[in-house]
Amino acid sequence: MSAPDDIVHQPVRLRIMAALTALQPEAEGIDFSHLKKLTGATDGNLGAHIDHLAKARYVAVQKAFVARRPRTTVSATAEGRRAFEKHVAFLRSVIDGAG
Amino acid sequence: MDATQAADALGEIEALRSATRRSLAYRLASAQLILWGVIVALADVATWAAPSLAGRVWLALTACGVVGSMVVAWRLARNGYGSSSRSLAGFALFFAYGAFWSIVIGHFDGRQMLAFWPTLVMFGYCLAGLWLGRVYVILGLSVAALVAIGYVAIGPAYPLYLAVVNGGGLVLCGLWMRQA
Repeated sequence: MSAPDDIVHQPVRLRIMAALTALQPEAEGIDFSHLKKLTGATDGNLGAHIDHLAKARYVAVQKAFVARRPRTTVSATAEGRRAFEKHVAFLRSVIDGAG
Repeated sequence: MDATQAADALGEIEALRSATRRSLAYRLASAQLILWGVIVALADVATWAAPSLAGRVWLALTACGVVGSMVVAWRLARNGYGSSSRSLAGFALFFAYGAFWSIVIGHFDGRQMLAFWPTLVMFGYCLAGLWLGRVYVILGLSVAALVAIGYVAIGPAYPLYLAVVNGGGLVLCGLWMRQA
């Protein structure tokens, strides 16, 4: 049985990675407010977990100004996608192991 | 971690991935709806205000809409929602079918043209809704019904009525999808 990914395992980070990896690798990413709505996290909580994921190089954060307003876009990196897939494989192995 | 917790986590992941794909597809497609809503509303108002220029106005605004739709289709394809060439082929087929029956075979007059095109496009939305989500089916059926009712019940102000129900309907639906 493979091991859980300690970074992805945390519930909010798991939701962030699930949302980001639903997109194609070449997709534009998801903006912060949309990600907040999808994950149900608060501003501060989401920001802290995105920082954590960015430090692990699981996500890339891009900041830009659109119509004079700051816009933060987050996308999953190749490393993040691999880690998330490994974690999903771990979850499946837990279920298979119990069967 | 036990099997129940793992199954719950996998279930949450799947639900979130589906919600993300649907939400993003709606957001990107909403640009298409708002664009065409504004275009048909402007063209309908122009048809009412200056009937002699209606043909040229519709051609010019439709050309702008097609270019805008191609950009949106390209963005949708880039984000993994279908192929831009398929979307383009779909548009071309619908326009060709509509032009063949309304111009070549039917020789529709102005009022019939105004009713025919929105109902044809709404038929397309209903079809697309079978794959993209029921909001398209609801939009297609509602607007087509209002267009048909207006054709029977509204007099010379029919183009203005269409600007509201067709153009306004598309814009409202696009705005709703943007925040969905």
